[in-house]
Amino acid sequence: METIIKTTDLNFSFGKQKVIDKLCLEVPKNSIFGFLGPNGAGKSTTIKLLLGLLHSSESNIHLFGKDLRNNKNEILNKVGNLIESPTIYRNLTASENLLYLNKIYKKETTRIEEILKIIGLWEHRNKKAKHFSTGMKQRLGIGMAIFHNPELVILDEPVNGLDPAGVFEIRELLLRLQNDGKTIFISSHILSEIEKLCSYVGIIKKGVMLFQGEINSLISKTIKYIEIQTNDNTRAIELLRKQQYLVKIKTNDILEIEVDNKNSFNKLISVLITNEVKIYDIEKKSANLEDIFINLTSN
Amino acid sequence: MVRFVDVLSAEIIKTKRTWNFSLVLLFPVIVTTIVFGYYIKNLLGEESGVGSNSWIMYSRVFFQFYYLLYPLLAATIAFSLSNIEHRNNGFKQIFTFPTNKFSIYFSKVFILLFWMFCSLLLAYSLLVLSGNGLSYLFPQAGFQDYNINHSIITFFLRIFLTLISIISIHFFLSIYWDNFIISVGSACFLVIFGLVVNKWEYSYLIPYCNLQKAFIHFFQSGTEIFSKEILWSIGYSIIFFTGGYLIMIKKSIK
Repeated sequence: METIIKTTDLNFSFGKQKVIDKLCLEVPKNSIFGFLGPNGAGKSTTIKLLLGLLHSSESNIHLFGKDLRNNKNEILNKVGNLIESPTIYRNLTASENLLYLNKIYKKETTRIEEILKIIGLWEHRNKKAKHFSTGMKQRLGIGMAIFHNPELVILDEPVNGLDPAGVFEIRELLLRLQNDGKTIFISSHILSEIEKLCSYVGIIKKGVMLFQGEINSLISKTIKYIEIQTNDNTRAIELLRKQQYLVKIKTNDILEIEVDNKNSFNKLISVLITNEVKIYDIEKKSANLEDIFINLTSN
Repeated sequence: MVRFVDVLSAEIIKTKRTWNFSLVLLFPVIVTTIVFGYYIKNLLGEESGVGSNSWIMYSRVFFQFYYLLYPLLAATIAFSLSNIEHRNNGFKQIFTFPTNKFSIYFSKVFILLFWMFCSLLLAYSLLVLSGNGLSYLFPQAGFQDYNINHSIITFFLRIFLTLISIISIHFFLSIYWDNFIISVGSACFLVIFGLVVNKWEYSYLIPYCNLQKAFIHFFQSGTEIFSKEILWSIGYSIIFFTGGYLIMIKKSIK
């Protein structure tokens, strides 16, 4: 699989404080890659390193298969970005903010209208950006990031300040960009959004990559369990523990039992039925990204 | 690769609706209006300086405004241009453009020098036009008897070359600190300091003294442009513009 971003043992320090520690990042082409980590984990620093805003002492950042240090302008021409709060010139209107980008990237003039319509600001095109709401500024920031039709879009907290409808629109926009063959690298605290949007995730803590890979593989690796209610929980616990099941009492009525696979689940049901324990309710549970994230980053 | 001219046109768009730049053009218009009105009032009251060079007397009033206030305007526009990036957190974005930082920095410098040049050209044009207007309206004032155009041009050129160094110093300060007081406040202090130490033998080393020196030079009907103090000003311009560039490229985006 072709990788668009590849870092090899990437290190970075602010003074004596090590912020990134031997980070190996691989972002596959045409993926939406969610980059997760608690505050201060090194996400923004990594993004700034990828964009050449901070400099690594070694040649260990490759984008599009090329060394960032030696091919910076060629690479940056194919990258759009939105880092933290968007850079918007408040004295300029939405159109003018894109017009100034157009002077740099030399796209057709219809591109300004096209972007304004994509981000839903066409009706506000002549309004000064200083009068925009946070959500409108965020949209304009995203519009500026994708203005030159980049192959790679790097977004740091792109849905900050957006209302639910805005979040939905941005999600749809990013999925459309992926369908157009773009690669999207996104950092966000909103894990439910990442789960809905991303095909790959990387989880970082204190500058160290804890996990990276397909989001489905991450979730499938986690322990699944069921919640069950019976007419005799005490007997059910006794029977299941004899069969080496891990049983926890969640509440007075509900038991939580780890179940690795389908056979294990089938055996559990058989044990209870053959011993005449009545099952009132059963619910299959699996960890979501938030559970995994908290579990990984808290240990 | 993005061309310098593309970066320049992008930078020009960013300065749109920055009123400090309009002020630079408005300033000579305001000064001309005041001085022209004042002169008309005096000439109508027959208080003209008959016997003295009318052009020198007339220009003198303009130049007093100019040598005192232009350095403050220079500091203000240098601050305003840099503040556009500081205020909008723009450095992080412009550094991710596929262009070199040299083009970005020197397109800003070009804009500053262009605005200042336009303002001085306007000031010169208004001075000559209004003087000729007075000559036409009040022939008894004697404007038509003298021609000091060469001295006037020399004054404006010396002022321009000095202002380049002042712009370089305050642009340097503004790139480093996003602080109006440091940039413009220091200009106020240094202009006053320049007036106080103007007679010191080494005052040619201080660009802020050169403005008054240009004024004195005008009265002496001097036509030398590249005098010792102007060469020092050019030296300062090179040092501070280079320093500002180095500060910008080393600017940390945290």
